[in-house]
Amino acid sequence: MSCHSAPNGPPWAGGYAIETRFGTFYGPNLTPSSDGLAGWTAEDLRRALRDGRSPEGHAYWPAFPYASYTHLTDADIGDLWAFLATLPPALQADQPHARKGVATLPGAVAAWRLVGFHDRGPLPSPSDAGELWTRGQYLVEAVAHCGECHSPRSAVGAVQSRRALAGNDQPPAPAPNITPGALPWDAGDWTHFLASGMTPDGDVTGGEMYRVIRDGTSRLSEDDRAAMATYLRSVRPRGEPAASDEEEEEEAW
Amino acid sequence: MRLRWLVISAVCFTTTAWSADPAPSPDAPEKVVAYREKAMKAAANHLGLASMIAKGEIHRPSDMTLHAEALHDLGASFAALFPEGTGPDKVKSESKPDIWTQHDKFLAAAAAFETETQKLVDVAKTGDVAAYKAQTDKVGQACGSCHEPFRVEDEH
Repeated sequence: MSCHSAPNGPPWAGGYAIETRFGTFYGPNLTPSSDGLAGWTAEDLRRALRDGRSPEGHAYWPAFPYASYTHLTDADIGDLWAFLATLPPALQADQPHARKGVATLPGAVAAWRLVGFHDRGPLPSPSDAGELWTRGQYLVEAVAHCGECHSPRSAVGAVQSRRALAGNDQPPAPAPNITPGALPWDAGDWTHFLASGMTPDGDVTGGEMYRVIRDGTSRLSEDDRAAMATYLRSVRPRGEPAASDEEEEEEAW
Repeated sequence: MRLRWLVISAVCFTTTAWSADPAPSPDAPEKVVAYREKAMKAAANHLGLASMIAKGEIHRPSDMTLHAEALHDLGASFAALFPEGTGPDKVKSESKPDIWTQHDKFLAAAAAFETETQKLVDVAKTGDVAAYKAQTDKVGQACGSCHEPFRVEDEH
């Protein structure tokens, strides 16, 4: 919701600006109006989320976090489709993206897809993973797409999987390291934070994360927040970026 | 006659108290910023302590009111800690200029914090830990709804 609602505009009607070092990208209108998703089918939505392609077949820019959404289940995509159909149609034309830097080069999306969009479909799950951990992995990696902001990206914008969730100092907002290496939070600290925005030291987050909590994690069930906590506490601890990066093994889990 | 003067002075007093324009401060801007950052930190500490009790991590029912009242009393001065001339254009601060350009919105956010912390005081006095927890969440939301538009988020 956050990325598809302008601060003073109708909800879900687009226009929210995401500032990145690749330019400013505007969330499109998702309401069932002629400026939004009227004319789309459930299959169109599935294709957008799973494959990052529009109904006409062109590739989306990765400001739309389909590298995470690709892991959504068919059931959840179906539910999302049913929900979007209930929104009041809002007439508000999409604002074109204002790309800069490498994103203005021809083939930029194709290049990004090559390096940043290879693991598609269901998330891999270790055989010994418990139900809570697996649910948490799905919520963190697919639904809440935490790593899209909290992971550093390469020069072409691909998430650096070796430092997944280890923080990103680039716009839209500096996003801190949320691995156990930087946040030694217990499960209660996590669930309380995801419900209220309050950190264990009593500070309360503002900025982008405030909206993530207000519109997202505070509306989850307590069980789902506990699942996210389980997963987040299990990811490989990463120190600050200066730490011996080379010695770390591939993948966080 | 006397009553009339009383009414007039009451009206004058109220008008002065209600005028929304932040007055310039006689204090050095750096000191104002240092003071308000410490005041915010103090509030955060009380909220953190209140949360530990609320979450049942520690059994200190007798401290519930203390933290609630501290939050409420600190909150009562928040708006006054942002006088004109203490924004990021004048001094190093995490405050956003919108505090002064959208001052009514800022005052409303500060007032919301007072309302929610007053409710926390009321709940604390009943000794109901579950209600106390629910209200600390509301207080947290009041913090966040002011930080979101008016504070620059630090990375750490």
